[in-house]
Amino acid sequence: MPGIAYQKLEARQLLFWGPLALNAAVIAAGLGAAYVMEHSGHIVTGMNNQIVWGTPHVFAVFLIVAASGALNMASIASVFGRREYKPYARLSAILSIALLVGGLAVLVLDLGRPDRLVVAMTTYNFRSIFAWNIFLYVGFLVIVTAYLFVMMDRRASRSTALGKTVGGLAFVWRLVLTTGTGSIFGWLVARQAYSAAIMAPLFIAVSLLYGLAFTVIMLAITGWQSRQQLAGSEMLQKFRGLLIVFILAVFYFTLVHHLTKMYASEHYGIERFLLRDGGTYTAVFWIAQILIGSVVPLLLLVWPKSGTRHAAILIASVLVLIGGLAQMYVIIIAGQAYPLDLFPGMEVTSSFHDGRMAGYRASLPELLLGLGGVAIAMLICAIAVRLLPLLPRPAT
Amino acid sequence: MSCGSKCATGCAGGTGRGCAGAGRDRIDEERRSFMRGAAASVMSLGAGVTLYAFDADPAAAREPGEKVTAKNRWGLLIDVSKCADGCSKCVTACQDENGWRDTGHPETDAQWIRTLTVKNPNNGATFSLPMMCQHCANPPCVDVCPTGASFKRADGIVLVDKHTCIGCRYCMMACPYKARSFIHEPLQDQKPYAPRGKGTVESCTLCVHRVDSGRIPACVEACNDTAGGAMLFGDLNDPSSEIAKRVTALRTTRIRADLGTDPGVYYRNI
Amino acid sequence: MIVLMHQRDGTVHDGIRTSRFSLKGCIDCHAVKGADGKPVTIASGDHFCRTCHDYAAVRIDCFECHASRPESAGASAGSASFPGREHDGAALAQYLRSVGR
Ligand code: SF4
Ligand code: SF4
Repeated sequence: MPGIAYQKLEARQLLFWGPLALNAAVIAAGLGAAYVMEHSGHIVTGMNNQIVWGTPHVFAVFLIVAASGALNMASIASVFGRREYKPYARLSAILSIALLVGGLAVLVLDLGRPDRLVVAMTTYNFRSIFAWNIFLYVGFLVIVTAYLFVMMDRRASRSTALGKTVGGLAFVWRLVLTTGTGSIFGWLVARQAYSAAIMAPLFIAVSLLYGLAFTVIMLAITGWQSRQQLAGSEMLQKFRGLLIVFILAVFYFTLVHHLTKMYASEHYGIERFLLRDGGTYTAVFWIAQILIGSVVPLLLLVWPKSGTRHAAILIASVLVLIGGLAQMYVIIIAGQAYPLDLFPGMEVTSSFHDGRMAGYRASLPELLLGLGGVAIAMLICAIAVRLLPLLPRPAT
Repeated sequence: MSCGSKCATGCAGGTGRGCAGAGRDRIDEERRSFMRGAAASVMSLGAGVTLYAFDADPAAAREPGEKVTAKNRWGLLIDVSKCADGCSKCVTACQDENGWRDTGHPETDAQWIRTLTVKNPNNGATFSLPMMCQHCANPPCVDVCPTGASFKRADGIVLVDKHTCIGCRYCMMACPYKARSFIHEPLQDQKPYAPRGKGTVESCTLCVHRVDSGRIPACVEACNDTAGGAMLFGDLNDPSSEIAKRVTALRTTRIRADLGTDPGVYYRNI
Repeated sequence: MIVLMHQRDGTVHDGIRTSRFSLKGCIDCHAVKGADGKPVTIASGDHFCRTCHDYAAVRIDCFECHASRPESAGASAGSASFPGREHDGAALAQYLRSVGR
């Protein structure tokens, strides 16, 4: 496959080291926060016996689904044979590894007993979708690393068949991985907000969207650092089209999810809570997830005057990610805030917050831990693109 | 107790199962005679109502060195009509027994058992009942636990092995009864027979340490001794046990039975 | 410790409750009296388990959850007192012999 040239990141000192130092600082803060959480217990977080998964999980799940989506470029190039995406395949692979490592780090550091990671890696309950996910994540890292090697090694990359095989495997694996992540929630029969098969395709759609947004942003950052235009106008238009499709897909699954729930009187309560009466949760849903995360970027992208501009595509990507965090917040935290239905149709009260909407306020340590995960992903990317020829040559 | 050693002598050397097969009649015989003699644990509540705090000696089935088996399934039958409004004797007894307490952080404090007040919004009718781990036969908490720390003992008691619990809280997401608590703070002065610690999840153990030594759970004991005698503990698998007889003869309810969890806790008069 | 590990699974999962299988059983006998005459907790360097684990510089987390002294104070607390914090092997061995009934 001649003709595609790659490069390492050549950036001026400050442009490279500045962001790197910033990431390192955020990671240090995140690790410090994790230490405090481990030492004093989760009492220092906003999590409690009602909201058992909080901000760290919002970030972790966000990063993990984005990781699978970040592989988009590589998959389109190898599995669907679209050669114009090939120059971005390496970057997309390293980005997906980095995002997954960042997400997993947050997940592990939030455990009540992070010191027992060895137990988690050696003792499995094979009925647990969570345990399957541990395999899916580790497998994903191995496969994408192999994929990256196949793409980069002089001899291995000559074989199209090999590239297609490993690329195909990675493609299937990422779909299974996102299905698994969605099913962590989808298979929870106990809770009104979850227990829905549609969580799996919903998560696949969001992963495509977040992953692409991350790729666009990464290209913009490295382009800014190296003072080059890494994606030509033609390519950006393709990204724009994909962003529109993915935003609509996420919107579609969200809509169907809510409509299905709304139709059954059994779920009136949770729908009313999420969409109308939930206070902060409702505001986050409508303002952050729907308005900022879907409507505005969609308008930016389809409106002819702005849609073709690079800046608009970049801003839309940033908004999509903000909306993505909001969506994870609504799914994970609002979903738990709604009380369990112990006696359907009855009003239940107790000393243990039964029958009450649970409150949750993210504390600084958990916020730092979550941001630390993002910084880990960014740091891995930054170092990798500096050391290895992963970036495309500038468009001519 | 006494029967435990007698039974053990009766079929010394046998394994749990073999013993059960060979000496089945003998054990039943022992059990019946034990029940006759267990007058001390039988309470008369007047109006012809007699309630057995405990109808068979759990140790009768097994000696301390023997493994638990699926021969037993421990369960509870709770007569909600006997729960007085505002009574929390079972809760206090559990706290004293297992060492969890109110530390002034209601959002994060553990609660192994709590009283629920249930009100019908249409007519205002209310009733109270105690709620704790339902010791499900198909426990969602066990299904989802990645490390297998949540497990169901052969005799139906659902526990957390705190040595392998990594504190991921997925079981708390999965339990339909909000039965579990996460320990948010370091603890001191735990009870020797009820280890609990920061960073792990816990819930009602059905007083497994008591059951293993032939006693009844603390909540049941307290309710029978100092309150309405609403709770009955026993072996659901033993057709001759009081709990099994009542569950067969009376109309009982299990909470969220629609979820298929097959709880070991039965309620009556809901 | 490996021995205790095996027995631990026997107790937790299979309900085997003989004292041979019980950490509580260990603690009940190996309790060490402190200056106040009550059994010391793991916070004290004299605690039976800590003497060796400190010597070997191995941290144990058993007592984050388990009670480190018997419940009824003084039930069977040994009268031994720790020979000092010098951590020399011979003194330790002698001390262990005195508390290891
Ligand atoms: S009540 Fe909850 S914690 Fe108890 S066995 Fe059932 S699912 Fe598990
Ligand atoms: S918190 Fe502990 S018991 Fe619960 S699922 Fe996680 S590892 Fe299992």
